[in-house]
Amino acid sequence: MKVAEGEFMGIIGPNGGGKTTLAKVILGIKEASEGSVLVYGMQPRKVRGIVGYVPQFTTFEKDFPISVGEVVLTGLLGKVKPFRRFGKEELLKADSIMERVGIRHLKEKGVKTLSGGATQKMLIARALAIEPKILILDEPTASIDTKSKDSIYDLLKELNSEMTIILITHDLGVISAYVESIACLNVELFYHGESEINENIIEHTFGCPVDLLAHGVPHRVLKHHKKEGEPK
Amino acid sequence: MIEDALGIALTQRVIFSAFFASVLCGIVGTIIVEKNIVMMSGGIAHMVFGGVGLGFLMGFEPLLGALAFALTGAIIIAAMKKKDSRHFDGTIGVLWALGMALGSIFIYLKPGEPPDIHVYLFGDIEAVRLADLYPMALLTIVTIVLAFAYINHLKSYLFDELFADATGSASVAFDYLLYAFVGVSVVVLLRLVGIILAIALLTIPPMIAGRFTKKIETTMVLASVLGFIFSLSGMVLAYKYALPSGATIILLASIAFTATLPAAR
Repeated sequence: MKVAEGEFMGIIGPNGGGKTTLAKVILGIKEASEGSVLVYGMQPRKVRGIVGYVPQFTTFEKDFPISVGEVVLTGLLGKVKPFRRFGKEELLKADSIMERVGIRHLKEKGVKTLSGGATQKMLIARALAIEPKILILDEPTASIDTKSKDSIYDLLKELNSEMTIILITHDLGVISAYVESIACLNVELFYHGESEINENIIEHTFGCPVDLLAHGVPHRVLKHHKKEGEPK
Repeated sequence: MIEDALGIALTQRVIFSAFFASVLCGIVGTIIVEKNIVMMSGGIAHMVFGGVGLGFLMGFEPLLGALAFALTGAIIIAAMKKKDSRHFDGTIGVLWALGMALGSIFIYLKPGEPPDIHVYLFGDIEAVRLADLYPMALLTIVTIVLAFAYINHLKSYLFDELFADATGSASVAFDYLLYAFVGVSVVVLLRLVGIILAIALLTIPPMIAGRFTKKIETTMVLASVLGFIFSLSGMVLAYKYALPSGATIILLASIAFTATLPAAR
């Protein structure tokens, strides 16, 4: 499977299917037990700073006493250096990123006071601070309302003009509407290229029927996962 | 007259040791609480008792044995965490009990009069020696300098370890360093409040402080101040009513913890 530069790709699959693990491998913080991942032709570990990561809601400390501005600045930190302090330029850069994702007014607010949508935007801003070429988002809309969802997907669409986006999600409606190509991950990885979606593929990936309900989504048909040697 | 002079010397020693312990607990304890590693820290603390026992048995300074066990425990636990071991929490419980068991066996095996292990378990402020103050002071200064030097990386690590790891803004060294500091802090607190009460002095002041602060730096400072207040007032009360000092300090801290519950968000 290949993800082209500038692509907007979706990875779908049930919990426990290995989606987050795949993200960790792409980020270079976990070794692949089988197969390999190359980012721009290199080992992920060597190209840290190319891949920006927006984690799942469960992996960070939501109660930690830290302001939105401080979180975004952690994206600028880079390698561990003693007495690391932020210069004026870095502070301005963080401000402009917050402006861009629409959370500038929340800069001084504590993270634990934020809504789900604002938290997600803050995490996107932090990932943008490292100036990534690839942005990976792990279930970015798992716990937020529909309106915030829309504004986050619009933001991602806009960002997609500058960077590759890999979206890990349960949100099948969104996959259809925004995503250019799809991979299904349930222990095994199936790549579908051009996005096409129907009940068979969903059922195959999740192991049970899932209702497909989305307004204004063009009907697409997705081919079956083919094993080697099977007739076409 | 001589008694008064001795009293003053003891008092100064006690105040200094309470000060160093409080600052150390304020900084290390805040990290423990925010990182949710109280259980792991408890495991390291109790492993220390094995080292105390070994010191008695082999005839070297029990505090050195304590230090060796604390650092070994810290390395084992950090390595287990890195490997994402199954039953991580349960295994810590095993190390916890193993440390205590080893300590008891070592002490039992030593012929002659058994030592007063009570001091190591619950602490005794009057047992703090002048010679204990130097390593305490040194460790406190090192902790302050490290916290100041790496505060921004520390925030990244405490807020989201995965992201910090992915961007290189906190390395695996942070884990090892943190657990090592937990171990060393427990050894420093040993004479003051003992193994069993050390975790309380590490965690109660930061938890109270966290109810009134919005930044990690201020939590650390306030926790240090609170720890110092609890220690001093606990010692005064213990002296006045002939109570055990370590336990009195923790009792006061727990009362304050409960009294400030309404301020918890």
